Amino acid sequence: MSCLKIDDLHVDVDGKQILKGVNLEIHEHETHALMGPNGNGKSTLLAAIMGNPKYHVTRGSITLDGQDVLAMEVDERSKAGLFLGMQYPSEVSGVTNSDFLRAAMNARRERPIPLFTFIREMEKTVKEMEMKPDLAHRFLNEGFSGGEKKRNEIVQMKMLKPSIAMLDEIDSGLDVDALKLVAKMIHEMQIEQGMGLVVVSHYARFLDLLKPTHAHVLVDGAIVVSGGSELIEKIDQEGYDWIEKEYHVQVVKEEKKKVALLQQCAAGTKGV
Amino acid sequence: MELHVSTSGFQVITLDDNETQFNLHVDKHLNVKLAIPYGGIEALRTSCIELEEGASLTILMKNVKQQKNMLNQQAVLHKDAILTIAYWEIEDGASQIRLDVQLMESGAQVMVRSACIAKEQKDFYVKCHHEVAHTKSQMEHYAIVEDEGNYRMEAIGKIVKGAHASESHQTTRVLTLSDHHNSEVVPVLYIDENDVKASHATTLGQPDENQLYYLQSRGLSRSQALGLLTVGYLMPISDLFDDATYHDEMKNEIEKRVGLHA
Repeated sequence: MSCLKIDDLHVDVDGKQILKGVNLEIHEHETHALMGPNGNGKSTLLAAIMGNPKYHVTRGSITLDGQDVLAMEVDERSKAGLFLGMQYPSEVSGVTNSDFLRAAMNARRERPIPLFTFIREMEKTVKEMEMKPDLAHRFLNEGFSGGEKKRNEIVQMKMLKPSIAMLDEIDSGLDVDALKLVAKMIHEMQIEQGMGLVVVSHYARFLDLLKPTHAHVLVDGAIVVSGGSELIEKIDQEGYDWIEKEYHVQVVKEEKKKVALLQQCAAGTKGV
Repeated sequence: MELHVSTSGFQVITLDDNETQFNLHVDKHLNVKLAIPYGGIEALRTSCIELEEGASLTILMKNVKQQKNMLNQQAVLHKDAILTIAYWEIEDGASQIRLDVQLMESGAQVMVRSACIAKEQKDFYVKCHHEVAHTKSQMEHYAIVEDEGNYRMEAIGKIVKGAHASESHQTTRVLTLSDHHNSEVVPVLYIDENDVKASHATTLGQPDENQLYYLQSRGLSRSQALGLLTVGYLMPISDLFDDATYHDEMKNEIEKRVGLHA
């Protein structure tokens, strides 16, 4: 039975502490909604679990079925059963989706997947995700629309069959029909293989479709409140202000990028 | 070897080690595609290519051995002749390639491409002379420089006075896989005419860490991820041929070379 366990996780990015002691446990078949205002550590948590080298774990532990995830390289984490559907998937020119996915599937098998088995499986998944049949031959995410990139993340997830999947704002860029389709695929994977799921989303409709078994609110690098669907409903109606008051925490406001002004501009100069 | 081509189509011609010189002549209005596997012979090998009016030649010089290779080629193009010449340099071993193309009559066009993995010294010198008006040259070079590798590309476009409405373009892209390498790109444009179009573009850098992380997050080791990026970088050269079998063969060879078939 798969179990991802995060204990007292502290994470730095560029010397700044983002996560300040996160505790979380995800079992198979469970769906955990990770909520919270922007800039409070949700994506950082998922990236740190996957092993993004920009994120440095300074304290705490992550285990998957008792194995030390932090001791693993990124690819080893994937092969151990973790999957991160990224908010901004990379575009890789020159590498086709089929070459990439076939290599990724072979990386976790003792014997390479026979070509025709792979083609059949890829065609089936592409069709299920209602993507264009030429997906296999296109370069990885290059020139894809936002929605296509997100669907392609789900194609990869379906073919790689992780035990625990993490989806970081996978709903952004997806229209209502695509949201339903993605939710349906996720449900099927949970039924078929008992996949556990952590999902970051600001979209109540998507969470309605996914029916999370657990919900957590991350504020200032720590989970301040956990619950079930009633928590999602309350946040959808009331926002996060009540959490600050009730749990005596301060939401981290995202720094707005300032527009660099020239020292002197036409509007500020005096006429001569 | 003297090769006088008088029929169109795709052919593979293997150069023997004792053939230090091979000359190629393509008759008027023929459309010829040639793949020429050859190996270095630690001596200079020379070659002259001549395309008659309206002839079209696509030729792949495919170095398939690891011996030291020195190749010196000259090409002369007549009216409306089109030459596409590509260099395949993915094997270990030093290579020194020289190409001098003369665009002698209007409408002549040349495309020079190279796909290179530099583990040792790979040294290219390519010069396209535009001797008359309405001629065109395009150079596209892609190289992967491995640890301790040494790569040099000097690409020259020369447009003489009077060669108006000519175009000379060149792109060189170099991906370095280590801090310990010596890579040099020298793009040169000599232009003595005003009414021309000319450009050059060069990139030289290491693989994108975000791309590597993305590929690794799906289970590929760093070396496999680098291998995939390398294949993607060099494969455009295979577009020269429509022949699917040959295309797959070239891809297979790069994949083997970068360890994706381990």
